[in-house]
Amino acid sequence: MRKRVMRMMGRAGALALLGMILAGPTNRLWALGEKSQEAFLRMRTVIFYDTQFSGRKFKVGDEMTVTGKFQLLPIWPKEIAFTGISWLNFFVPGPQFLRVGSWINGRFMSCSQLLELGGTYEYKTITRARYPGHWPVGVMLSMKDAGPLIGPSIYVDVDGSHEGFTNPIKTLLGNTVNLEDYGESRMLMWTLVTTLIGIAWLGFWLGRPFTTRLGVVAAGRAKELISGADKTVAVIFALGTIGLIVVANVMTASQFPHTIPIQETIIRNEPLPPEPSRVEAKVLDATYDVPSRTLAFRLEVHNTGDRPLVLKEFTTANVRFLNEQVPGNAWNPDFPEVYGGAMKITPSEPVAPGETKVLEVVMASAEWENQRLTMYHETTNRFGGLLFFSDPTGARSIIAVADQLVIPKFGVTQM
Amino acid sequence: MQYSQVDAEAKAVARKFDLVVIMSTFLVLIAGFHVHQMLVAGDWSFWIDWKDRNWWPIVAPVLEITFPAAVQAVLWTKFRMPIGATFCCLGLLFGEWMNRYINFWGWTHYPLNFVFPETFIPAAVVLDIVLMLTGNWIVTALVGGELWGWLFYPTNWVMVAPFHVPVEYQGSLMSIADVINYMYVRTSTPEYLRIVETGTMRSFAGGVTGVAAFFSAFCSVCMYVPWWLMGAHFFGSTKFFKNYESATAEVKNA
Repeated sequence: MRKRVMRMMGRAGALALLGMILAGPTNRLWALGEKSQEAFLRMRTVIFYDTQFSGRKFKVGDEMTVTGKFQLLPIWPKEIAFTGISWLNFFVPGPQFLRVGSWINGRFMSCSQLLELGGTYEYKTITRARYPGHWPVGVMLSMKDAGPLIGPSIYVDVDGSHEGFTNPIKTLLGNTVNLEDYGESRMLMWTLVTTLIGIAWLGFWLGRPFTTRLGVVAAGRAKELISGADKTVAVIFALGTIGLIVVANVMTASQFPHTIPIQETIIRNEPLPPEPSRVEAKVLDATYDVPSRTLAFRLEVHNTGDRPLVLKEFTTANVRFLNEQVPGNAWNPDFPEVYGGAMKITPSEPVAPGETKVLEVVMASAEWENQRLTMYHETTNRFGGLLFFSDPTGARSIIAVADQLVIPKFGVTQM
Repeated sequence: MQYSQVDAEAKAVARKFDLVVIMSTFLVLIAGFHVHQMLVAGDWSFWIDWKDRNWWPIVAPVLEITFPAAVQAVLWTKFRMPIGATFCCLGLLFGEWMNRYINFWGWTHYPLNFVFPETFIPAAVVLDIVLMLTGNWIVTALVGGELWGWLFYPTNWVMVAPFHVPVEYQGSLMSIADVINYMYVRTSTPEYLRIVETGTMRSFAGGVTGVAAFFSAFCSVCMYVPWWLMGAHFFGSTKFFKNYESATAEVKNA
């Protein structure tokens, strides 16, 4: 008896807990899921850089602007389809922010855009806070047949209340409507009217004995169960229902004489003109040391400009590694990317104009593991990303690397 | 005890039993039909910017005539109750509204005007009535299936029309449904995933609704038949219940 009571109490407790979880406020999300994507996909498809969020604290109704650039790496992995059909998406758990607008290279993105492999694009997204909470937000490039390719993200806090929030928009007929509840009462009313017809028809029949009819039908007396009066009522129901739909449509046509179909298309968007590059660089070989979590590669660099160049940064999969030997090239906590750590370059002296030399680049970081960017688990163990060179005036030369095989080093194994 | 008293008690018990059977069946239908609908017609039912004039009137009715046909097969042949389609569609609507209200609006804050479900109830009542008046499931497939397809779009256009009013937004021409889709972020569904008016069924000066409704009605007729047969043969079995003739024969042979 006691066991039974305990079991019942346990079940009731579990149910109550489940109820609390389900009924609890949904103003927090703990994970974004970008790490679930394979390393080669995140490192060799799209690299976002120069991303800036206009703030981290907002009130309901405030606008947030996200700007930056991305490059579709020229050597796209063959395992991932490339169609170029793209949609710059904004990720947030549900419409807690409204997308006011997105632009790629200054072109408003109302529909998908056709982007080019190897192209660099500048983007801007403006959103407006709609619900209070602690939300992860960021940009992503959804690409047809390749899927979502995730850009940098941050957590933002939105204060205030959704109460009284409106989203007005002016139609081409001249009236202004609030998208938060536009058409809602009409929809509810028509749903109710049509549902009542169904309930009335059901009530007409379920008011009679139900299961006992099984026996009557089995006894071969089915005809007794439907009378002439029933048929008359049925005809009235059918004609009434069809007539109601006709009348409702005539009224709808007069209320909304100007309507257009759902709009969709794909427009081509040319990439930005190539930035002048003062450097040529190619990776000669690369290793990943598993015990020390270190990616190292040799880079042959040829300075084609007239000023000395230094390698300041390597960015991949929203993780940035900085050459902190360069004065002022330090991590800024406002960066939306993940801080990978210091990038050590040997020799550390700048590459002189006209000079060609081989640099040893070493990045030891726990983030290779934390971000699941280790390069020995996958079918395509290559790395990719963007190398940022800079001259003394601050002019950048950006080089994409995307096809270098990585040889893992597992260390000594005790047999 | 008087016979009339026993009879009254038997009737009362039978009504309570009816209630249990009807409510249980209703809940089972909500679960089954709703899952079916989410899997096969999902996005066309969820989002206002998928409710277009081409694919929505084809996809939704063709895939939703299934359960009504199967349930009609049971309720008509075994109970002579012409309510199978209405019973199903009321269950579906109830399940959908629970989903839209609790999940879409309550948890994730999508406005209801973005995610409201379509209704099949008027078409379902007509489908039931065609079966009742003709008493023949093949004629019901031909006539009722046609009406099912034809009635879908006008039934729902009453609710959808306001969302097709044109808007100039950021220099682009969009319908209000498009703007809602654009502003109320749906991270998992990029714009290119929407299937809107692709295909070659374009005729009658660019109007595709009539062609879509015609095709939908034709396919609904075709879908009705296998689902009626499935309902009749797999779910309409009354092996446990002897018919009048066999019961009489058993008594005679005893």
